[in-house]
Amino acid sequence: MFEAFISGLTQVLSFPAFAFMMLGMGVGFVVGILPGLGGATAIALMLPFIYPMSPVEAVAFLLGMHSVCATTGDITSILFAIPGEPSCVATILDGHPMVKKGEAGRALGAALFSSLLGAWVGAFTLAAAMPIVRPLVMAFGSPEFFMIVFVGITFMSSLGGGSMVKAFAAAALGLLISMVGCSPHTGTLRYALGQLYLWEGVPLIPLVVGLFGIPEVVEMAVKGTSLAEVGPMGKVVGVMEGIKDTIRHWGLVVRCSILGALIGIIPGLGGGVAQFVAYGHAVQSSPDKERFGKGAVEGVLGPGAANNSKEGGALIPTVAFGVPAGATMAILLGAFLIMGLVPGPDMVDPEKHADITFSMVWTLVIANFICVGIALLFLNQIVKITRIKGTILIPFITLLIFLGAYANDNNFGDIISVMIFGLLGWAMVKWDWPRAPLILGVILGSLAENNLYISTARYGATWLGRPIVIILIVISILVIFYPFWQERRQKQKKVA
Amino acid sequence: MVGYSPGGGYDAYARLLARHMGKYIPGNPTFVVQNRPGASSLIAGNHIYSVAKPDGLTFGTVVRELYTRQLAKEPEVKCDWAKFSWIGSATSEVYVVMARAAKGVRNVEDIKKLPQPLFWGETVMGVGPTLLARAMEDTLGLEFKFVLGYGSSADYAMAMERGEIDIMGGSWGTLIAQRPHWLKEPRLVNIIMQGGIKRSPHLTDVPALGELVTSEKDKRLVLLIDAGNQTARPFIGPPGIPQDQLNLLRRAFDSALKDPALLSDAKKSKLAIDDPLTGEDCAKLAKEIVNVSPDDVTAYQKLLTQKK
Repeated sequence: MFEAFISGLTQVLSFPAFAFMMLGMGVGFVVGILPGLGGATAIALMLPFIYPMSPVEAVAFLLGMHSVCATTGDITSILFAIPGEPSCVATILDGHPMVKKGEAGRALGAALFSSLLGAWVGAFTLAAAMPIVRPLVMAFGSPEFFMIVFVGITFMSSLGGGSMVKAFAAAALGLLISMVGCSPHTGTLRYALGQLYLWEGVPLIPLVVGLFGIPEVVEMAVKGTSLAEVGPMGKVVGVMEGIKDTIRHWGLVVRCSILGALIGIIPGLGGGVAQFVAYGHAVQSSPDKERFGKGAVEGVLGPGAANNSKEGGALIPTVAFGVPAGATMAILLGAFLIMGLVPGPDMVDPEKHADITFSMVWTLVIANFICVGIALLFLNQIVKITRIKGTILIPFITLLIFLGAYANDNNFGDIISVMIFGLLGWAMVKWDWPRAPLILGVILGSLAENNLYISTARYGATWLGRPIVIILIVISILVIFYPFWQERRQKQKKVA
Repeated sequence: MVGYSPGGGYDAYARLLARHMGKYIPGNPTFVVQNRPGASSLIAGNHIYSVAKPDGLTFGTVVRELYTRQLAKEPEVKCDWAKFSWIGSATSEVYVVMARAAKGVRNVEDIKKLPQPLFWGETVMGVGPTLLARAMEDTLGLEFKFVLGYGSSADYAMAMERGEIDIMGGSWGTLIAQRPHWLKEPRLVNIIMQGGIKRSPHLTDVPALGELVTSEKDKRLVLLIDAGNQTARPFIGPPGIPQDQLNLLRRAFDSALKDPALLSDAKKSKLAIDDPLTGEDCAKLAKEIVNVSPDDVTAYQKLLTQKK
């Protein structure tokens, strides 16, 4: 195994592979920054180019592209409140308010550096898990998947910011939205309003981009300011501060990275859940919850780390079982097959292809390091965007919003979706309703429903008695009641 | 136009053709692939049927079982399977039924002897494998317990490895390409049977459903559900493409599928090109499917949902 570990490294650092990795990173950087144009589409389009490459070269290229997308997606989330990837929504919650306070550099520095550490933890998890990965993933069945999603939903109690009732109501609305479309179990159309467009449910990207992006643009137009509402007099807190924050809160970053990696291992859950669980954890582990939603740097560190660590985790089921842990992984899987790498026991066998799997680990490590390094150098320049007058930025951002939504499926319906959800988002901001629980409900709704159905169809009621399920039930109870318990403790402290 | 997002099987075949078909058309035009996913490719199907101009410049690929919805008379279907201008089908497919070896079933007789029904895993009812399952129930007197809601075939394949489901249906080609370790000793699965009216030349020692049923009615049903597999990667254009242009496209399609560069590409991408069908043959088959008797349609419609 150790030889495979080293062999993976030397293969990635060797000449053609390294050049391909840099090339992939370049493509990934552009794609990651453009909202809506997903890493998945980019990888699919690059597939024909990998035919002449050797397996390690192709891995370096595709994974270089993929890991950079995950990192740079946070940049538009923070600067414009438009998620570069659906897995970058949670970074908006505190990242964008930081920009408004004039702390754009700090937010970006924190996001990027925590992404780097997250990616390393994810890569390490992939490497460490290799000998035990098959029994590990086999232990998780549909009942366990459901419980993990359920735990994700319980984290909603920490996304409320202010009113918990509003948070749960928003989440309920999100769950309702997730039910739109064909029911998998009976094929009945639910709430499709007679539109073919809605058969597979409300598309996520226009929803997210509209819900978060449009209100920001409207606000900029109404207030007539630049992104950073602090005028030129405000202190520009720079990128170094963000990096220092990451190191200061290293415990949080490591914990969120581990969470992300573990969640990434579960097929289907991936990006949607990991970011919110990490954010929820960041909120709950902070003594002062009121700061969140208004520009608390921990709210950027948590999701930033989890976003990237989940990629390392997601490679595990993809490589070891051929079960892609998400759309991007599905396409990577296609690429592996093209290269003649059949996912399964061979990929973790040191006699066979473990060195290629290790080269994936090293690509994640090295590509993220280079990407973050380069980005940090240019960040102070990128931050200047936040000082440009709104009148110049608004048309550009609006174009980005609509283009991003449309580029997804080439469906005009997406434009209408963006506007409808933009209106909803604006209303929610105006009346102080949190939007994050809504997204959480949308992402988790169908996952929860499908896994619950499979669990009951297959196991009757006995699935509740499975050991991992019981542990997760206990965890969700703790998560739900923790804020109440903390509040009581603080009141007791005040009385004392 | 592809009725799915990039990265899946239909998209892969479309891009394969896009790369190689141009050289068989005068002027060597460039092919641009556009993805238009939604409603399991029905959006693309409807678009190709009524919105695209029949000038021979637009054609696409949709799910092979799109005719299912037409037979079920769903109102959202705005296209007629038989009236598309058929360019051809890039390959044919064989579905196999595989059961976990641990359950000790090797064939249909063994299934009948079990005390409890086997758990059959799938994404939704109404897709190829579940049509086959339901046909097995209705024609052979078997019973399965369906576990639905898996995201994709990869997800229920993993459920199979975990023991969460006992039996599933899927493409033989995908099984040997992506899960060869299932068949290596100690086997994970036994191949119970294959779909279709007779055994495929690629799989001669596994009985076909068509052999196991007896009545003419049942044999017609088997043909109806297997029709999709004969045109496993269908390429269709809007109705009304002028005949000489359609012929041009058809011949270019056929030639492209024999082109050594395409075949080599396909081999590398693990895309099978087995028994492609010409546009003319596809059109004939499509017409037969759409014109089956109302009795046969009723028998078919029963397969779309679980047994009551």
